[in-house]
Amino acid sequence: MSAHSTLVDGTKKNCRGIVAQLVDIMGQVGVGAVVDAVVPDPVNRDEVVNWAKRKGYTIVADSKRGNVFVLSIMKTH
Amino acid sequence: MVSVQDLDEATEAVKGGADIVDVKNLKEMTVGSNFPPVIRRVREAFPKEIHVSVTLGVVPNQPGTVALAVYGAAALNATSVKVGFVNSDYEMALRILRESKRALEGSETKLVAATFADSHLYGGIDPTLVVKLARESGSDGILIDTLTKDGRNLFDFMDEETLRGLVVEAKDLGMSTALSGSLRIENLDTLVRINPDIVGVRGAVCTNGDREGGKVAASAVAKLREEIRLRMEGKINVYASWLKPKA
Repeated sequence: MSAHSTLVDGTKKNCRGIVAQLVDIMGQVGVGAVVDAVVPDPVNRDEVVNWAKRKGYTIVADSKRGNVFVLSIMKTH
Repeated sequence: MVSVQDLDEATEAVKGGADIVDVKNLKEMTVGSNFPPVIRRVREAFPKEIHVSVTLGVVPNQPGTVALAVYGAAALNATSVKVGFVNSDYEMALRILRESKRALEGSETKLVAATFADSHLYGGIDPTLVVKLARESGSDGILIDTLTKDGRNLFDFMDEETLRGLVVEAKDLGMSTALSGSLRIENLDTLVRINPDIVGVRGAVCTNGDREGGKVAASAVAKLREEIRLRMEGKINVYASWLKPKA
């Protein structure tokens, strides 16, 4: 398992949403890697959670820090 | 994303908080292309963080002509260029998009495949093919818009479930997703439930709500942005209209 985390900051302006950015990152990291996603609002937080479940990834942490949500997602396969 | 016709409107849009200004020319169809000097002025007026998209509107069945126009958008440093199809069959649309993608090699400009929810009125391509078209052509994103500007809008032609399915499918492929087509504040609950990356508007942020006679107003852009924020943060329940009273 990789000890390193990769960050996707969904609070920054980007035409592509957080899920699309996560799709890219998950394609680049190895099995066992953990990707942290900073999500600006509940709508996108729910979408990321649903996406991770659909893909069979594991959410290892889910917290609210100030105004944002931070999700840690492990690539499990 | 706010559709603008010139630098004055772009400035109003950005002042109101728009993340993307979409330069078009309403005098050439409802979604026509603007002139290179106008696009250049808008691009040069704002930092890179403000995205400037260029619409090519409904393109002809001429892959070389379209590819050259796409190349022009890249030469103007557009963030993205939208290529829309009505009078093209699937194979022609795919060929045009593939040539457009080739024309963007070496540039940072993103290619967006666009279909129109009301294309059946014009004998056009099935709008639900947009994700397949984008995937097979290597496009970076999708847009579903409307051509009809008679008061009807996107949701008069495609339902929420279909649109959500397309948005989810495109996001799962790593694409940007945009919905447009005479969208109004009263559509925001539905839009937030679908959650595309980009919501495109013009009439909703123009003076008197008039997309052609009116001008983009910063105050209207700011109001729309605030209404979106309230819904994204859960301060307005976008599922309230789904809840039925108990018997």
